[in-house]
Amino acid sequence: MSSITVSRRHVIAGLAACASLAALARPLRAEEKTYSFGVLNQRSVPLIAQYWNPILAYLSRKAGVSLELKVGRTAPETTAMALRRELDFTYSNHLFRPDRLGLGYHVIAAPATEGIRGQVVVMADSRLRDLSGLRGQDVAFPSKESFAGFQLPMDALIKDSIEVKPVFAGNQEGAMGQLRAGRVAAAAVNSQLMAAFALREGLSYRVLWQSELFRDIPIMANDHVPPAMITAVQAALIAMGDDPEGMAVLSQVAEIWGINKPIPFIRASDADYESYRRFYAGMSPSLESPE
Amino acid sequence: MTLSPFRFWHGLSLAGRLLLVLLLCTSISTLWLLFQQLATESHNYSDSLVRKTHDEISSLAPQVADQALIGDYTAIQQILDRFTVHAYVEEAIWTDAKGIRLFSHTDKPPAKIPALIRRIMGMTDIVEALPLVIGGHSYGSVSLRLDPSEIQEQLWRNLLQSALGLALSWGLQAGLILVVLRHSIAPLTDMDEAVHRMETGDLSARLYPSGSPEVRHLMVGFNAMAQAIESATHQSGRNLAETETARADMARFSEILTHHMQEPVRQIVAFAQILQKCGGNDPESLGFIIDAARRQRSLLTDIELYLALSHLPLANTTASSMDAAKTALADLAPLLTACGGHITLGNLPMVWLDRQRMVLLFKELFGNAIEYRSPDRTLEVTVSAEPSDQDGFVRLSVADNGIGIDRQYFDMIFDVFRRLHTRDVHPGNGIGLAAVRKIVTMAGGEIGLESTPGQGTCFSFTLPLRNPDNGAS
Repeated sequence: MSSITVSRRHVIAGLAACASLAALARPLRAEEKTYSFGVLNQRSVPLIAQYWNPILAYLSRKAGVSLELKVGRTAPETTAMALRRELDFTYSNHLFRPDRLGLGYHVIAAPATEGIRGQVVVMADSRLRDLSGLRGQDVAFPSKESFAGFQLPMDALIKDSIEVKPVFAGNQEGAMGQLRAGRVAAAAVNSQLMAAFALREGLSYRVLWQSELFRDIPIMANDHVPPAMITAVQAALIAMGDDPEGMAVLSQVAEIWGINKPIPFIRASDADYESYRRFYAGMSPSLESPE
Repeated sequence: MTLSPFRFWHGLSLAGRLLLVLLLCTSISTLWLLFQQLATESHNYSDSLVRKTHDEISSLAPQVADQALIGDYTAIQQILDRFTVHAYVEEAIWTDAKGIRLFSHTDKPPAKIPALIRRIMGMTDIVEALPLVIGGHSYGSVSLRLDPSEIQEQLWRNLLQSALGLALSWGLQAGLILVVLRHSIAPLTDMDEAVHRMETGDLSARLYPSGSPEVRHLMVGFNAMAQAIESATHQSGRNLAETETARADMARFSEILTHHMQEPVRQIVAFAQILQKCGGNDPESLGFIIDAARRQRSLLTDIELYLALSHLPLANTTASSMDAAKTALADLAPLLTACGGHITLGNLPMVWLDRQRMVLLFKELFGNAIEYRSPDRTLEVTVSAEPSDQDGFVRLSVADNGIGIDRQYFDMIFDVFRRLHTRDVHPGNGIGLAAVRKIVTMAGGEIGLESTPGQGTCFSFTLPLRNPDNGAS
């Protein structure tokens, strides 16, 4: 009998210990937060999701940080989320304006590309040969927030005193679609996206003007995210190109976007984006307010 | 009082039975075909509804996905609401990865269809769900429920319209068949009545051929049969009359043999005995014997003539009564000239009687007029013809202005060897008018007379214009 009583006591003690551990574990699980990852609307929302969701799933697994895609209907909407600091991480180059530097976003990585340029393009069979021919013409822009698709080319047009009729298409591929449909004389675009679009859609185009080379759009983290989390995500991003699994994901999404080869990520910092800040310093005053 | 199916069937006419069987068969087969068609159409519509559900959800999914990516729940609700306005869509639901559920529902009124028809249709709600996965990330799922009530009602309306059309068609068919059958049966009814008339002795019953070809053929056959029966009956009647006449003749001849023929024989025997007693030298007795022998010969000649009438061949064609009257007139011309009389012939027709009998007939009548002429005036005889009440016959009249006959003797004068006067006043054996009556009755006609004593007599008789055994002229 006594042996049975002792055994019961042990069992009860064991159950109590398990319950205590479970009670301790519950707050830890509650702390598992999902971090939002904003992506600038360069393409349609579904295409963005098709590209970034596999990457975020990979990063979540590797970094142990739950990341969730968050995207607005248009680029300004997504940027507005960043301005409200609703995004923990963001893939954007809209945050280098002097008035946005204090929002707490810092570069942690960037796509390993040669960089991007702002371009004004026309269809290959267009009679337009230079920017002056666009005077008074309809020109498609992604949005006023677009660095390569609006601010760089519009600054050049203003400085050349060429007044055009802007037509805003919502995102980069929207502007390209307007050009292909013949609804505008030219489109202001991101050189990298334009090349990918032309390759995917079999489009022939001609560049009337292009800017100097800028670093590709960076991935930024807000300083309200715990540094350990930022570090984990950064490490996973940078290591992705060296991981076969990561490369497989990048290859898969590159195919969706019609990109020739997968684009891995490299380490980057705010200092790598000095050219953006220089541009904003010399930008035409009429472009200072995107509104 | 209940009407059992058997009694109902038993009381139906042939047309009704045919019609009922036809309607039952066509009704069963057509209803079976209709239900088969309904089941097939329902199956096809179900397949179509499945495809439509797939199309609808394929359209709904990307729209919801776009908004789910952005997290715009209001827009998702609006999209779901828009879809439930679509035809047949009863319910649209989006459930996100965390179990949050948005849905839109439209109450479609249930189809008002009999349960049996609904079972035959066998259509149920179509439900399809589609997960929303973009780039490997789940954005929940959408599901649609499509209600087939509208299709069921449409199919039910189609079925009712088809059934109505078929009912009208059946009614039209039944009506037309009834008309055709009645039209076909009416001649049969006429035939039945005609048969009944013949059964009751009306042998003149004939049918006007009508109805379908086979019925007309039957009626023509009936008419031929009725004609044959009527002819045979008439012939039989004539034979009977002839037999009756022969019987009367035989009775008359018995009387003649017992009276008229024995009278001269007795006279011969009596005067021969006187002649024997007086040694054969009595010229007066010898004269009586010779006179009696002559009368005996005259009687035998007239009997031979009368009997010969029955053996003359009957007519097989028509002959001119005018020619016969003229021939008789020519034969009697000496007598007529001697008495200074005159006979006038009217327009006399062709009749169905052999010429020999016809000449004898006129000769006897003209001779009778001459014999019984009035001593106070010149004999005038008129022969005329007029239509007869007897169908297919003509009435001929021979009228004279002679001494006339008392009415009480009208029937008697046609008897064989019947005489109204003594031989001394008017010679003859009294067989002429009997022969005339025999000729007329053998031809199927009738004979009679009208007479006023002291003014004249008119013999009228009917003769057939055509063969009385054949209705055709």
